[in-house]
Amino acid sequence: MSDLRVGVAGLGKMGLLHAAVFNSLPGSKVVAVADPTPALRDGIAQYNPSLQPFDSLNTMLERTALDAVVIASPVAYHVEAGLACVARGVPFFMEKPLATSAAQAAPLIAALREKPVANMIGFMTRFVDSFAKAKEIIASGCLGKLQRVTATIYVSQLFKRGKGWRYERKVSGGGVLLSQGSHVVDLLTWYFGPMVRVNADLLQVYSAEIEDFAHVVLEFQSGLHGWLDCSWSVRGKRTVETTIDLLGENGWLVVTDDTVRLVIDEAAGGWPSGRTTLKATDLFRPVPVDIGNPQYTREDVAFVEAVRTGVKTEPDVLQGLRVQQVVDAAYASAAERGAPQEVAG
Amino acid sequence: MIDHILLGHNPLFGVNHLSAERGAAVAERFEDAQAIRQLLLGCHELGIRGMMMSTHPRSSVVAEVIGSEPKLRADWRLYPLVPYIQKYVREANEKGLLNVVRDQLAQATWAEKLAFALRGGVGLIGKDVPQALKLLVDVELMPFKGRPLGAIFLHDTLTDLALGLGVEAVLEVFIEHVREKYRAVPALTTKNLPLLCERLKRRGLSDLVVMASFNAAGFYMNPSAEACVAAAGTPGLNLLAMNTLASGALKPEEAYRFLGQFPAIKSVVVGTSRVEHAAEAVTVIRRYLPSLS
Repeated sequence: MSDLRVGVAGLGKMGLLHAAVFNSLPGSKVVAVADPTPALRDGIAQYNPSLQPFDSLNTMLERTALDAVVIASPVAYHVEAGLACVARGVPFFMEKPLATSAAQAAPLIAALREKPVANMIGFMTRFVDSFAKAKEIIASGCLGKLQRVTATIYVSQLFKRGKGWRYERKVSGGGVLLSQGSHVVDLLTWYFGPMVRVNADLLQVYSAEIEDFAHVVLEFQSGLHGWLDCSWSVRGKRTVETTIDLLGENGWLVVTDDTVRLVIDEAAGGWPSGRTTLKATDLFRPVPVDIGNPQYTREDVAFVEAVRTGVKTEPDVLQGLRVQQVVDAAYASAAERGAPQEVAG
Repeated sequence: MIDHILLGHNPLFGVNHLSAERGAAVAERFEDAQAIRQLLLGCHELGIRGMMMSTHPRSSVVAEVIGSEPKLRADWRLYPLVPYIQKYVREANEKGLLNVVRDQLAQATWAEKLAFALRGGVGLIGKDVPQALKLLVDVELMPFKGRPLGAIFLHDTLTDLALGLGVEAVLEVFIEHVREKYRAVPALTTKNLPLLCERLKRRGLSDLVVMASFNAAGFYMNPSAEACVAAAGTPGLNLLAMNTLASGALKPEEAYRFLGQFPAIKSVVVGTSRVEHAAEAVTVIRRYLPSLS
């Protein structure tokens, strides 16, 4: 089987990373890159002439035969890029989040309903060893009836007014909740099903247009309650740190980016009673190529597989929409001084 | 060529591959310059003379300790790992990748900037990638000016990004620049040892220093432990093994007995925050890897 011919739109940090992964996976090759700024696209093409540089996604789609596209442009341009791919029947991998709001994403959702193409959205936290293992543990039912979940995602990133598109609401759609917290919203809906109601408190410290801190109280369709707290302006977190803490009637599960700790009263779901600790060394699984972090490789492998087989993969654009609806509801709640809001969908 | 046993810098800066929580706890201990001094002097006593060093903000404290301690000042060699990638990632999130590169270049000395401007300027980064890259390396190495350098390591994210994008010529720019301007040993760090070995061979590059995870547990070895073991047989490879204890999953005895089978291993990074652990590691390394003594 010949390699998938991939084009990458947007050569920021994530675009470069996915370009490197898709270009070196068995089963895919990057043949074209698109970015409005000549610096990176020409620099790369100069060193690897098999990558054709273009100034826009549309020119790239017009002039090259592509089997798949990576959309890694700023958030506000995701929907139009997705629409261009659907129009040509080209499968796409889109960086998260889906859009600046669920309303902005509506034309893409409609177009995909009309003309489905394989697609995926880059909520990569699911592909982190520890969080993937937590999914197994939760699905085993060993915790019994679930009582409460709390989650945090923190990084020390912003301690003055931010520059660039992430801090303009029009282009980014929101602050730390949409940018980082959305990873946790995705994880929690993957673990526990849809959220039906939220209320939120947001705080702006360094940014003029978007939130730097967010606290969101969550209610799931299943009846589970919990909360999510996120910030990119806390101290002492050199990389993004995510923690999920889950209580059930039979015990307790704590998952971080590198460790899983399970404590249960009675053996259940294949897990022994007492304490089970799974460390990074226990959880590690090698990847065909590791650029930055293995979770990016795993999601890209899943996407290649979806394009090849035509079998739907998760998380896809519809999941991206569910996450967006939760974030929209949180923003609506904060605008009404924390009044609870129903999640659309 | 390079020191056979190197002290790792990660524990000093709170980097722990096993647990961020544990890493932060150790970093707290090293908030105190006195604790750093004791660790470094203890390691010096054991015969260790070299240390990996990122351009982490805390590295200036380590540099001050070395500068103020006559024993260390005389023969303690630093092995910089550039760039400090977490800073780039956070800054790229904050202001976009290109602005990070621009702001970094803006820190270069006037003479360097002038030379670069004459060749096209920062607006033309893409037109003169080699020059921009050299300048970035120079900016990263500014904190190490005047210190004896053992080797200069390129961070694995950049090595692997270049491999993935198929732009290995960029690695050659780094290699030549380190040799010509710094008269130092260029070294590449990778999470994909077999891929790097294959590409270096294809480009006719041998006798290079490569740092990669290498341990009996297969931890951080891609695409598989077997493939990495096979790659260790690449002719002309000088392997600097890191993560040798698999973040504590292996005891020194079994860890270094395993490494003893590979003649390509020319050096080992000992990543510890305690002198007594370093002492144990050094004893066992000398037993199983006598060529490193």
